[in-house]
Amino acid sequence: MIRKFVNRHMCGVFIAPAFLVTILLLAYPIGISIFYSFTNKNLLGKAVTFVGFRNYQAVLSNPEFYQALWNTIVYTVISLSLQLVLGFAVALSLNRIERLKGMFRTLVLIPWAFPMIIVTFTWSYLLNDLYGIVNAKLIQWGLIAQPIQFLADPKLAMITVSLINVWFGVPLFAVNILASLQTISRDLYEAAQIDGASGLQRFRFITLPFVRVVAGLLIILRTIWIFNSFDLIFLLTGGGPGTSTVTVPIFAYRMGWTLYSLGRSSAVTILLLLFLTAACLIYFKILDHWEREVEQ
Amino acid sequence: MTGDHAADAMAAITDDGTEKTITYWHTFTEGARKDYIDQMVEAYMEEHPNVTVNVEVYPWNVFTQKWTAGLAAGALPDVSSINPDNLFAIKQAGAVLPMNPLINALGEDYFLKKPLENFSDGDTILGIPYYLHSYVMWYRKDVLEENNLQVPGNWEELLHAVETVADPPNRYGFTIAMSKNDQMCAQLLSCFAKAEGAALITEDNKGNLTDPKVVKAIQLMADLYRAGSPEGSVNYGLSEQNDVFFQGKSTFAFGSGFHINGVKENSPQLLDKIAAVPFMGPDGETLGDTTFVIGLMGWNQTKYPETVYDFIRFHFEKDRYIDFLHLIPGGQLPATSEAAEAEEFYDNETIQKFQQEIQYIQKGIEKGTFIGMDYGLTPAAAALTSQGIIEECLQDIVLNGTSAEDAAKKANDKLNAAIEILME
Repeated sequence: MIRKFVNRHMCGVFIAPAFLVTILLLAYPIGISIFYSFTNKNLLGKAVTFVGFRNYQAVLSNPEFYQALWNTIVYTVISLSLQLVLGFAVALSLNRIERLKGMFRTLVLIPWAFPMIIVTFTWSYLLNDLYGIVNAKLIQWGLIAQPIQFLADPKLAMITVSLINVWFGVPLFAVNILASLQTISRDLYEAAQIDGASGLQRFRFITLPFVRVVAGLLIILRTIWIFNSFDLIFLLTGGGPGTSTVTVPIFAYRMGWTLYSLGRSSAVTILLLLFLTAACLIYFKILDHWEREVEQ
Repeated sequence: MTGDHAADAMAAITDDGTEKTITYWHTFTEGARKDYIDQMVEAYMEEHPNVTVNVEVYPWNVFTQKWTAGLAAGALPDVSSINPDNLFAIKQAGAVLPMNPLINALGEDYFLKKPLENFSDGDTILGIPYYLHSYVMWYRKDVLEENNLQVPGNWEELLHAVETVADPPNRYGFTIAMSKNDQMCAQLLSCFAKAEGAALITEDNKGNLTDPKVVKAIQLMADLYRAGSPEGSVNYGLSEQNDVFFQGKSTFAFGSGFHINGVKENSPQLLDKIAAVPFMGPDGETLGDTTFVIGLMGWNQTKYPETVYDFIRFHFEKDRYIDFLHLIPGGQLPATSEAAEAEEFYDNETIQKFQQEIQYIQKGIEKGTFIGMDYGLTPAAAALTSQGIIEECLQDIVLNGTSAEDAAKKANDKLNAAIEILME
């Protein structure tokens, strides 16, 4: 009887800490954001009143929100796709290197080790039209006659910030994919080679299936991080020139912190959460399918 | 003030000698000023062994987040540095400790009149100005001489001078910094608009960017950009804008007395070649000035208001205060009448060298107001400087070829929408 009771209830005791942490760190912030999004909550501490869907209406009727959403999608797609491709390429190269492995792996990790404030100041200076080394070298080599306005030209600003994000994010993909590559037994490649499989076929039928679950998880994580990332673009361009690099987090920041309107800012956050949840559900569905394929 | 009243007034700002701890948030993050504040706090604690002052240092970009979070959590300081935008928001939040008892005790003439008025809301004194400056137009004397140009006396002459001296990439005319991360365009527009007698915010808290005078000033800034600003200045903030002048590449710049120190540190050989004049309107008039103040304030949740007043007063004791002002000579100008009139303050090599410029800046302080606050402290001013609206307006003109009228209209609508949110 006692054993039965313990068996039935002890599991609850063991689960409780994790459950509490989840509630405090996840459910509470989300719950409070949902609540605030239906109120006029203000950072100046004024009385909170229920405003229904007014905040959502205000955000969804603002054309800048759609511009910000589009910019965020463009930024995420460019950053993510190039990080994946380049990360994969770097991982494959590192996997083949036999000598000075440690040194090369450390070198690859360097961009990831920099604090974002250093990354943005450094790139901002490198790309400066008057003092930046990038323009100076391009002019010196006769490749351009006038400095390129990397961050001041609305047509170039988004691609520039995306490429800086690629530079920053490739190491994460490279290191994780490399770890996954190293779990693949060499016997599989040798057997395939004996069976006459080409290099491309070995990549397609051995490497890719083993790596894609890890890559898929990285894609999910990076999608969330990039979609929510604020500091890199904000510090480089502040969302300009014009609205060419305004992303949803910058839009929410200007609304929430500088206008003290936590209600509207929360509405933007909840819309962002819904969008990301939908994207992640699709990703997880695909990932689940891949995992089942690997198991089979 | 009678003897009894004076005694009462002093008692209201005198620490009572009991054990206590106060928290001081300040924003002097860099070397000399941070060290100075540390030493000043040490000196205060030595003089008042019953008081412990906990010092926390935050850069301005963190300050807003810090106090808004502190307000929600009930973890605010007793004393802090303050700028005009934040002061208004804190007042709206009902967290300001009025400084009236301090002024009652020290006397109305202790601080310069206009700066104190700028920090007041009706009869309530919200903060105490710590140091002051107003914006002037800096220029390179040698470059104007080389090109046989006089110091511009109106907008037409300014534009002509900028066109004449611009020789990119070797030399630029006037750097118009438009980064949405900063508020340089907004401040410069305020300088030009106030000089011709136009406000950026109306008395009833509406955007005034479509006023023909303001549109004219916006047009001037776009013309100056096209005539001789680095192309990339579309994305320049304060530091990039200043670098171009400090390193001798720009002929004109807008700034305060801090520019003296900037040139001295970056290009000391240029120190004899720079000078400044007040901003002028289209016909050479100077009807108003834009000022800026870093002040000190008390927070009304403090348990020890007397100590807060006493600690703030301590900042302004003559010799100590002049030492602080001399940390950036010409950049930090006095807020007390005593220091503004003291020979010791002017007995400084740099201040003497730039006597004329400092007089212009002081005159600007005497009659100037903060950006957007021509009619007193208002939330609208925060919308002007925090949203990048003016910067985006200028970007729209120079990048998309939008007319100044249309861009100003668009910006004004945005400004009014932001003001509406702030006023809710």
